[in-house]
Amino acid sequence: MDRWKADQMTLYYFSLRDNRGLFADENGIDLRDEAAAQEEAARVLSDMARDAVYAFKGANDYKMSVEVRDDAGPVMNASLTFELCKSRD
Amino acid sequence: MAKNLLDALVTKLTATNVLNGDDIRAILALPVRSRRLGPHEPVAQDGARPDECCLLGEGFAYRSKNTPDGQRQILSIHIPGEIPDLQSLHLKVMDHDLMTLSSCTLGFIAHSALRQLNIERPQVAAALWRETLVDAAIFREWIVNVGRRAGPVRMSHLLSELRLRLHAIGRTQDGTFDLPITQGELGDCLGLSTVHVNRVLKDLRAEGLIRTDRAIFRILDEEKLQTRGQFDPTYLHLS
Repeated sequence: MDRWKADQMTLYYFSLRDNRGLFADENGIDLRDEAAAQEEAARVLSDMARDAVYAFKGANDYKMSVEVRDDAGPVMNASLTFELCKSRD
Repeated sequence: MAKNLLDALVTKLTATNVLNGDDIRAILALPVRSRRLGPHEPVAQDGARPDECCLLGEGFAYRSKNTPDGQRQILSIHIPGEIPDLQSLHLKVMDHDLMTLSSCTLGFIAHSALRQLNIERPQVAAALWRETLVDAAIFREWIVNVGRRAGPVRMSHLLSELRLRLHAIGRTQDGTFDLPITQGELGDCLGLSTVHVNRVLKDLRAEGLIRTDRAIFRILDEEKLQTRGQFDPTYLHLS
C-alpha cells in the first residue's frame, strides 16, 4: 500500500452475492487500478468458494458473484458456479 | 523509560515462568536503548544481521514474509513484553521481517548483554527458551488456521487467541481490547482478501459474538467465539 500515493488510488466497492444472500461492502477499498480490482474480485471469489465447501452441505448448486463499482458506477462483475450432477441415485 | 520497558518483559515472563528476586533484578538491570516508532515501520528486516534484540514495551508488532509477486503473509502478532526477534540471538540472519503494527515503544538490548544474562541466570535463560517454544506452538496453530479452517473460523480463532494473550498480561478490560489493525492486515494474518475479512467480521457481529469499533474489539461471548474458532488454548501454555 505504501508504494502507492493516495492520489493514485481509486476507491472500489465490492458486493458479494451467494446462496447465503447479499453482502455489500460500503466502505470500499483503495486500489491502484482496475487490474488490482479484478485481482481482489478473484481473491474474494476463491475465499467464498472455500467457505462454501464448509457451508453448503447437500446443495446441488452454489453460485457466487462479485459486483465491483467505483464512484462513477459499475466496473465489472465476476462469478463462480458450483454445479453438482450425480451419476447415480 | 527503560524501567517501563523491562517491567513489560518481567510481566510477560512471570505470567508463565517462576523467576526469583535475583532473576528479576538481573532482568531489570539490562542495558536498554529505547526508541519510539510509528505504525507500519520496519524494526528488523529480512536479510538483516542485527546485533541486538527488540523488546516490545508498548504497542503491537508483527512478523511477516513477502512473496516475490508482492503478497504478504503475517506470521504472528506480538504484544507488549515479547521479544519477537529473540531468535536473532542464535540465528545470525533475519529470515523474515519484524514490523510495527501500531505506534510502538521499543527497547533494544545488545546480544552480548542477553548472552551474559543467560549465562548468569539459568532460570531466565530457561524462561526465554520457553518463550520461543510457545512462539513455535503459536506458529503451528496459525498454519492450521490458514490451511484448514473456513474464514469465520479463522477470524474467531485469531480473536480468541489475542484476547487470551492480552488477558495474561493484564491488557483486556471486560472482554475488550485495543487492536489497531486494518482489515487488509487481518486478511494478511488469515490468508483472506480484504473484502472477505469485512464480510466475516459482519457475520461474527451478526452472530452476536463480537462488536468492533475501529481499533477496539469487544468479545461479547467468549465461549461461543472459542467454539466458533475451534479454539483450544492448550498451545498458548498459559497455565
